[in-house]
Amino acid sequence: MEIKDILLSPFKRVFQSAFKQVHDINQRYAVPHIKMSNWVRICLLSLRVYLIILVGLLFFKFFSSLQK
Amino acid sequence: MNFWAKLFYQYRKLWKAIKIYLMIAGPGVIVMVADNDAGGITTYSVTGAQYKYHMLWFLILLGPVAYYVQEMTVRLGAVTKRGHAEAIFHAFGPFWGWFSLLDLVLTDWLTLVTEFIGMTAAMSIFHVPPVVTIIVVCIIMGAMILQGRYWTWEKIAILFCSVNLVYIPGAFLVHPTLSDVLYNSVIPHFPPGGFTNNLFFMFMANIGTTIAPWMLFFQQSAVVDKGMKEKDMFWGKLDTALGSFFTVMVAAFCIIVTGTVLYGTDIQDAAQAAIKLMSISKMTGTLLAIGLFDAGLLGAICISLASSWAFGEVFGWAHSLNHKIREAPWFYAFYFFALVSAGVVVLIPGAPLILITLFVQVIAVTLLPAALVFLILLLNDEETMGKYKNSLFENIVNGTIVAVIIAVSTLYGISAIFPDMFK
Repeated sequence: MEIKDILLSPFKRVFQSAFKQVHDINQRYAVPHIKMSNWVRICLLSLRVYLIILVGLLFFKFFSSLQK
Repeated sequence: MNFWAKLFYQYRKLWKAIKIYLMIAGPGVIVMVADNDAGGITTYSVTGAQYKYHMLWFLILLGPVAYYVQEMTVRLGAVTKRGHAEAIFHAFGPFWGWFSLLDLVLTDWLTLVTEFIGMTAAMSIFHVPPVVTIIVVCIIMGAMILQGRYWTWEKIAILFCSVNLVYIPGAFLVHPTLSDVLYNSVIPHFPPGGFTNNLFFMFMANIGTTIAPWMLFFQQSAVVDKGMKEKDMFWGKLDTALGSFFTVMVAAFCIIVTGTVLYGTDIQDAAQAAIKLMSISKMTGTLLAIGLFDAGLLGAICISLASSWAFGEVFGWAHSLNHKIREAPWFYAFYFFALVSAGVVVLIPGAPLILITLFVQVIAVTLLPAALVFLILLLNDEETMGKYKNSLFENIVNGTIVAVIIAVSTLYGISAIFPDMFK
């Protein structure tokens, strides 16, 4: 076993364990349990649009600050 | 039954009700009083200094707003036995779940930094070095959760909540004009100068301090950790109503203090207000500084727990304050990591603390609308809530409140990105 492997193996284990946990959580909650009525779909779509606009504004501010 | 027997019966009935309330009380009062955190006290101090008592009526209106939003978390927690983070994962799937959880952790950590900024600023007035303040705060908060009982933690937190009432004697010390205070509290009006951009900014700031994303997550998780059931809901609601009364009272008295003494003075934050007050009335300034420290401490207590509970719920770790450290190591490790890292950031020379304070508002705006919309949707889901789902009246009231909060907090967040917008 190389020294690089010995040094990296604890980190590898931690990341593998974390990824496994995230994967398990994604599996556990894969199916949304709320009744997906039209109203719920509209609300979720509006939220996505809202967040995209907000993130767009943040990027605009960031790049316009860089240009100054 | 004669008169005395009836009186004794009524007394026993009332005493029993008080005992039940005292057993169930806690999450509502704590979350509401902690809502007046270091940032909140700064907002109220500046509001008083700029507009005297003219915004008291508006602040009183915010009491019911806070109650209606937080009351929904009581119902959701008591019925589902899930914290808000877990409820979002369960109902809306991993995308919205991870978005809410990671955004919450970031918002909470940044807010925690601002609480430390407030606490160190307050203690600096008493010549306590920031490093000592941060170490003492970490020890106090560590001791509070490591004793291994939710009940004890809650009662200590309520003790700190009572310290927040120092603004009441503070207001009496500065002798405000009672008729002015009463008039401005009950008659809605604009301050002299009319509706200006600055006034609009102050309206937004006051609404922004009333509902924060961590409050939803904290109260729902606290309701679950306390083991509140459907039958306890009335008492949970009463607890929340009492808490909203206290939060408005503390905020109003803070405004009365700075409005009476510092009206027309240019102040930027609560610590500066306390220093200026000390030169006029040493006792009042001291009370304001103590109040600021306590506000930061209460905020830190609740915010750090909100994140730890949320992570524990989703990752399936043991995450109750009733657990010992060896039974819930990840829960406590996460709590201490957030606490200590936020404290360390404040001590770094040249750390961008003003930028962090502004960034909190922006990040909170990305989470608050989502958390509020999820709350309304969950409260309307018959399968989840059964007979405890929102009534038509509750939907009208809560829907209006949520729409206004989303609009105003978005404008507030945008004003942090583009500061000249409302100037």
